[in-house]
Amino acid sequence: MWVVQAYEIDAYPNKNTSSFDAVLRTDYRDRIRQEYPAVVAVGDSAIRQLDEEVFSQAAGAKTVIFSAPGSGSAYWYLMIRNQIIASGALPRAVLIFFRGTTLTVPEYRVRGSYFVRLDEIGGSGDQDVFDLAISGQQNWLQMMMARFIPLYAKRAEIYQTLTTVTRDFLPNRLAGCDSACVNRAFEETFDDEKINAELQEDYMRNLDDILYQPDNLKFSSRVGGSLLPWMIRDLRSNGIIPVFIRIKYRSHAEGQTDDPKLTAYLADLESYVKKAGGLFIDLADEEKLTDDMFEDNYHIGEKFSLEVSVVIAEALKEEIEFIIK
Amino acid sequence: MNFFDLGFFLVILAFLPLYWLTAKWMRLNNLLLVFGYLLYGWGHPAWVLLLFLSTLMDFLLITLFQKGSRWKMLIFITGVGFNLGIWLFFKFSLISRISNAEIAFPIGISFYMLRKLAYWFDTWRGRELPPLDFTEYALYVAFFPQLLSGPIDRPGFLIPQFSRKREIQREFAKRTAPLFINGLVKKIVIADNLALVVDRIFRLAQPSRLLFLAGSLGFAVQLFADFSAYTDFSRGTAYLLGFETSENFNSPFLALTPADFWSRWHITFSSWLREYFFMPLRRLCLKLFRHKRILAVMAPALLTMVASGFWHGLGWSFLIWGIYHGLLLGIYQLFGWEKLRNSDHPIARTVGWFFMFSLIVFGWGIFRSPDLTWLSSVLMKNIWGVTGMQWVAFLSILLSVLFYSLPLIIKAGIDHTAVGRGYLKPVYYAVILVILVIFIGSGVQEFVYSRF
Repeated sequence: MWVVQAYEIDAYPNKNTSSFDAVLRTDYRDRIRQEYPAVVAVGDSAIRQLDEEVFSQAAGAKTVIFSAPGSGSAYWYLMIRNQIIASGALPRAVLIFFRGTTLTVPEYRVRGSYFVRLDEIGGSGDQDVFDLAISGQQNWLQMMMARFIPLYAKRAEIYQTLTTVTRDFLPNRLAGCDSACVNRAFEETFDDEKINAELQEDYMRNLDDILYQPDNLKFSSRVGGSLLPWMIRDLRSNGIIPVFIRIKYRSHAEGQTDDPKLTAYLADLESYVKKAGGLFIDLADEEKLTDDMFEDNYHIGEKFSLEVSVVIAEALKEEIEFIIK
Repeated sequence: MNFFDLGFFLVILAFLPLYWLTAKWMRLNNLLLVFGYLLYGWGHPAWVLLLFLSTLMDFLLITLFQKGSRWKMLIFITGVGFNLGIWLFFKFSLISRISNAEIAFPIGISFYMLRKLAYWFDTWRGRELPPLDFTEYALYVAFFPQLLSGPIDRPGFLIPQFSRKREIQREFAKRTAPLFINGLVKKIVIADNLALVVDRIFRLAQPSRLLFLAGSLGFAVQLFADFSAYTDFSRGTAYLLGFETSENFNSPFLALTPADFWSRWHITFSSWLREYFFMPLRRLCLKLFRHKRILAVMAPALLTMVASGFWHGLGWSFLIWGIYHGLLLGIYQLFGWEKLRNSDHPIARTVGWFFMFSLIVFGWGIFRSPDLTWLSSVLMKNIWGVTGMQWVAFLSILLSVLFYSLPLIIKAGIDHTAVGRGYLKPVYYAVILVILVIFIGSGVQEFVYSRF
């Protein structure tokens, strides 16, 4: 009963476990409608340092960049459907910056704290996405438990409440450190602010390791159940060229090569995208992105923002100019 | 084969009715043995072949030994050497080094090797054992609830149960549910969640000393929860099959002295080492060093704990951990501090407990360290970390470790007080069932002791 009251479960069996809420964020769509860019870029925090103005100038095309930290293919697809295409101001190209096998792992970064962000751009008309990325990953037992056991349905929220007490209490009392400060401490110490901040099941599912599990490196067996075909279909049917761009890691700049299975995966991905009328670019080959530009393995340092924006824009320029012409 | 795997659990559930319903017209031991081999070998048939052939070899040699052959000493050495040899061959990847082939380490071999050696040693000593029957002996070696990570029951305790009439015992049934519930909480809630932060601490290139201590504390609790959860499920499953098996843990963090700790932690392994390694060694050392008390006391303790370290693994951290505990055992013995176990003085007991607890936690930090260089850097060079972000991380982790330890602390309190046992136990189980519902979706990670 406490769970039902505290977490506002208003129906039994619980229905709120199986869809996005009806509220849909529209500011991204509004911005696209206002600015009418030739190119829209989406990606996670790996592109947070790209400067729109510098990028647009160097690429020779007005570009709007949406960097959503902690996002995955589910988020990017909903951006395409509910923000870019729904704006009516259709760009000529959409750049999708990705890592590893993100494009074919729809369940990556959709749960726990990542669901909140996803729910903002997902609405009642996106049940298909919800089913594929979220409920499709649950077995029947988990779905039944979520419907009939309120405690189970709200376990992530309950855990969040507990961690507010356990994770932040001592730092708050003895070091004057709030929740954001504790997250920073974990980020600085472990390169991961989410440790102990989420239910283990969500944390494990959101780890990067999942992208490189053997099953996820088999492109042909994963692509059919992913959002990649939907991205290409929706963009191409609206006359937009999808450009899939694999970001460079610092380890690439230091000379490390990819696992052979990942190399094979990327070759299959490239072939698939090109056959479907899209473009594929691998920034791992871009020599001008050097290891000193990175602040960690994935993220560009703030002081290299402008320089990297130019480098990446110039690397894409030929492709973008061709599309726009 | 993982007790917490849903598939495994369903297989056991399906097996139990077959097991009990066929009690009258099928030899239960045969059914149990075949089922155990099937489970063990699922996906790894070579492991079952190794287990079966080595068991057969032992059986033949023991039969020969018991027939009063004049080659008894040679047979005994062959039997012991054969088992040790196989274990060393796989343990130290000799076969991989020779053939450059990837040979998987047969899971559970370290445990069933000890059971076989126990049978050999008891046979050599002329201990009274049930008449040798292949099925019973094979079942003793490959008793599936204990096959992967113990407990390491003695032949004299387990084998007689195989020949007794088996009945569904109410007392056994009553004990099963609490074992399963406690096991689930310890594994899913405590061990797997602590593992997330402990693993990250021990992967840091240069953690602060405080983070190392927090990681050591977290690992101590994680390891206890993980291993005792396995034991709970093992014992619960054994009860369902009509067998009583040994406890493996008895509130080890309440130990007052090193000897006290080793009588409470991994009890069956410690008692195996004590009986078959330490005591014979001690008798020998007392004879050899009768005028040098320090050597007579320290040598057997050190050698036994170094052997324990090697049993766990080949790395330097296991060796240092063994030496560390050997020194503790020897020093406490030499200075007479073991008497603290029998002391009634509350202050002495409290101080002694705190000191011992700190030593145990530090020891687990050594055990968990990735290598010697890392450990020496932490202890000699790294900062304490009383300021900055590592200090904040330390505070957060410390409270998380205490939070996850709460169910264990409360359970220990309940078990050791009359009020707890009487009134608080049902409340405790109700609360942990609620906690289980929250964490049940997390799945189960690999057991720590399945790596040894």
